Amino acid sequence: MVRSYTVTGGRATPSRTSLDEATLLIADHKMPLTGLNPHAHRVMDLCLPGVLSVAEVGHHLQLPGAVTKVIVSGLVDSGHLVARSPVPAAQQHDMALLERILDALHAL
Amino acid sequence: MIESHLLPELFLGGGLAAALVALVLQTRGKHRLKQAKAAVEERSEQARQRAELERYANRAAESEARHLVERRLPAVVDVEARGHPGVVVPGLLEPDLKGTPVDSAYSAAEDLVREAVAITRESIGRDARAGVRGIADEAQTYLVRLQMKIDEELDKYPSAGAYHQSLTDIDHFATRALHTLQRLRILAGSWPGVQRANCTFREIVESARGRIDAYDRVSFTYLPRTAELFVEGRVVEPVTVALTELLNNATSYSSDRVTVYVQEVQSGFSIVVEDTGLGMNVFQREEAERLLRRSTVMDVTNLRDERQLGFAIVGRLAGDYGFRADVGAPSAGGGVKAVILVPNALMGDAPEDTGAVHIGRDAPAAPAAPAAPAGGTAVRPEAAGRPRTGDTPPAEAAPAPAPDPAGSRGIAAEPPLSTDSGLPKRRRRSRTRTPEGPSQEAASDTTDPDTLAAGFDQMRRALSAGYAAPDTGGTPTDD
Repeated sequence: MVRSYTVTGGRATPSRTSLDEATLLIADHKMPLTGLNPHAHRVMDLCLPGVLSVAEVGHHLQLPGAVTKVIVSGLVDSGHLVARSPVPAAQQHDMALLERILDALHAL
Repeated sequence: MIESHLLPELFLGGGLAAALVALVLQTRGKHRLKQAKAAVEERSEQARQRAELERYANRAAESEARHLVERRLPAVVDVEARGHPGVVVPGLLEPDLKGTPVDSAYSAAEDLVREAVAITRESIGRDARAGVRGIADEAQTYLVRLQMKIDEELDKYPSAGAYHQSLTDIDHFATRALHTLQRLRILAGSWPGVQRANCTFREIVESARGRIDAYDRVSFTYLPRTAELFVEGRVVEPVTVALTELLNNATSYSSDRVTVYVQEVQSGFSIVVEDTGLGMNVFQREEAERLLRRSTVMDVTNLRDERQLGFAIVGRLAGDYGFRADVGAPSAGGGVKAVILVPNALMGDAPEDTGAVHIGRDAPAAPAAPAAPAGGTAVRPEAAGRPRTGDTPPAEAAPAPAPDPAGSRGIAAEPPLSTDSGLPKRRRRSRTRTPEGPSQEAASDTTDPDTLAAGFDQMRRALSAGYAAPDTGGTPTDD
């Protein structure tokens, strides 16, 4: 029903290239929601109670990933959202720690 | 002797008498003759007069016939077939012929010409409209497929780039082409050609905004209280097309920003489009009102101006689908204030699937989510005061067709998921509530394995609670 370019104001590329599907979004509770366009408003509504990833936001708003990134990067620029990189990849951990984690998991 | 002189006297007397008789006879004969002559003369005079009258009548009929062919019928053709404005069809040339058989015969001829033009136009119009509908259907199908393909491509390559920019540009053209086809369909007496599920005002406004050229000049004042209410699916597309026409007018006749907002009124909800352009003068406004009221099948030949076409389409749709459109009130900015009023009867409920998405999202995030719906209905005064039968869900318990404004306004303090009148309501969460759900803070290299294990345990519990929640708390009612 609503075309994606309407949502982003015709922009297809996000203002931030650092955003990833797994980037976590944390809403700033002190920023006012008035004046936001409908989709930005809804992204804020989704993110305010807790942390969500870009992919989750896109799924809930039923928007393509690229479009979600444009909206989200706009909100990050305006300070409404804080983007946090996803948890680092596993190869950075040393083997001993992973084994301890495995043991702990077995113990669960 | 007497005999002798009497004889001539007798002769004389007899002669006199005879003469007298002859005289009398002659006089009488003359008189009769004169009478006869007078009668003949009178008859011939009458005959002459009659001939004169007939000649006059013939002349009149002839000139009247010429007048019919040279003046009256061409004027009828000008008015009916060519559609020239301001042409007056003349009446009889000879006023004396009024009411005669000539008059009625010529009027009948005139009517016949009118009827022939009307029948021809109607049949051509019907055929042309059917043809236009068929072609529009086909083109519309291809454009919708194009849009689906665009969406597919946008989804396929989530990393945005120049390709996406091109896709969205193409998408805009496709959407506008679709709208043009819909205008054509409506002009051809058809429906908009798309059936939608129940949609919110937000979706309607955003969708309409995307169908015009200067969509970036339209700013939608988004208020969740009204913008997230659902409109019945049957009228979603007609309202969207009508709103698109109004937005098109507003952006074409004003170079400044155009504001759109949804507000609650006594009889329903109105979508207001305000521009700051030159506005319309009294005549333009009257013409617009006339077009907005008219809901007959349109005749393309009667529309000359682009703006009129828009209003005519809006008027047609409003008449067909039972909403109202109005441009009578002046805008605060001096321009035009166009209003589409969606009456309460055309408001709908949230469709099942999207409702589940919204509420399913809310449930794991709110800490007291499983208990929330039960608590929410318990504190509702009418739910507590009235004995529940158990088999009627709350949404069906109060199917009031006209929601009372006080009731829907009064739910701000303790919002249930649907208003008393059955309208869906999004659960507004408090801005100050801190996230208490699962967080990512537990994972770090330096943490002790035991606390890490505890963290994982917490995460596992949170996840299982989260996965279980959409099933238990996924429906708006607690039945």
